[in-house]
Amino acid sequence: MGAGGMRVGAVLVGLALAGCGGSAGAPEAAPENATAAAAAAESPGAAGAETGAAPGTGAAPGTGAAPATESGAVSPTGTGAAAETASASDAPAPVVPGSLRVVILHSGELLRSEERALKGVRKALTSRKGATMAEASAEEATAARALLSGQAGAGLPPAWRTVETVVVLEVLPPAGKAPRRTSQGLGGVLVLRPPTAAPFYREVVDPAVGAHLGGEKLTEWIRDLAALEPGGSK
Amino acid sequence: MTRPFAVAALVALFCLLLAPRPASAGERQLEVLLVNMTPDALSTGASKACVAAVKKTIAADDTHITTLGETPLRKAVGKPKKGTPFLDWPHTAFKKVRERGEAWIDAVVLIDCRPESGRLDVLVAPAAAGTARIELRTPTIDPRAARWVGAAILRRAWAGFVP
Repeated sequence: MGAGGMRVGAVLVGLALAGCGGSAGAPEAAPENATAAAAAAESPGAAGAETGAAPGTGAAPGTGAAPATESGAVSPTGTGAAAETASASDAPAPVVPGSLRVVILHSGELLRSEERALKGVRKALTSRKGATMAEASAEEATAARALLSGQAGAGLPPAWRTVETVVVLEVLPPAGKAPRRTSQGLGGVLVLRPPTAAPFYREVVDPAVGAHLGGEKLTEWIRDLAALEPGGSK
Repeated sequence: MTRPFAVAALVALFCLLLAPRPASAGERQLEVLLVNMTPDALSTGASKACVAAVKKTIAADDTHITTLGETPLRKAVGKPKKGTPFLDWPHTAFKKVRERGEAWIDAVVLIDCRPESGRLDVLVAPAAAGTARIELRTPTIDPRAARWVGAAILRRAWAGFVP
């Protein structure tokens, strides 16, 4: 066998590695979670291997919450979540009509593909006046996790009290181990209409049922919320 | 010289055959089994309109919908008592109803819509090994709200779909 044969052999070995690499990392989750796999594949360079998040998005251990980092948004109250210090005993502040706060709930680092997807959501949603998008503060994460697990009775975090609509998007922890982690996509979803503390909408999912994180359909779905209540702006 | 070559070729073929492909609509439709779980006594015109709006939304997304009554479904999953909660049913409970003759059901969708009570409950059991539980609580459950929930059902129903 000459050089040509060796070349063909090398190509075949390459194919073997590529084919096996596609199913590595999450041998059970990948075939069962084609949507998430498709979502990951949509972002160039995002499929297959991920190696961590951009700086500034580390999670707070124990709570599963990242520090609140408002960005690219207009705060409905003009003060921002971190500055709000109202206690439960204070007189309820009026809800700002048309305001929207999207809260990202996740434990651990986000994958780069997830960050990109959420950046798209942020860009699409926060162009509207009165809309904010932020990672969950410790208080928001605690409240959101309690509501997602069906625990009622907890009060609303201060950052939510004056917002007309709060949407919590849970990002599922990635499948597999570094450096071959794959996104499991969108997990639970909560919608609240303060001052009511009970969820208006609750979507609780098993990790295998993660949905595409981001995209036009998700942002459209969040925008359509405004039309569901009498007096909605859309 | 030829032995490693043959082994590599076999491995390549094996891996290419087994490599998961991303889901995409178009090659075949998503087979959905839809069950209206609203109790008969509470199945009003508004409730039927709600379920119909959800069904219409699901049908608009490259799906094929089959319907089944609550009684045969409960019999198949071994939960014959009507009116008992269904949101906590596990994914494995639907094994029997997924195989329908030569057809294979990808996603089982159970809906209980009670607009007069301001509640809409949905359980989605897609091909992926898990479920999604959806609850809407608002006094105004109209067809628009039902369509909005229908969109949420769809994003879960495709999980694990293999074209």
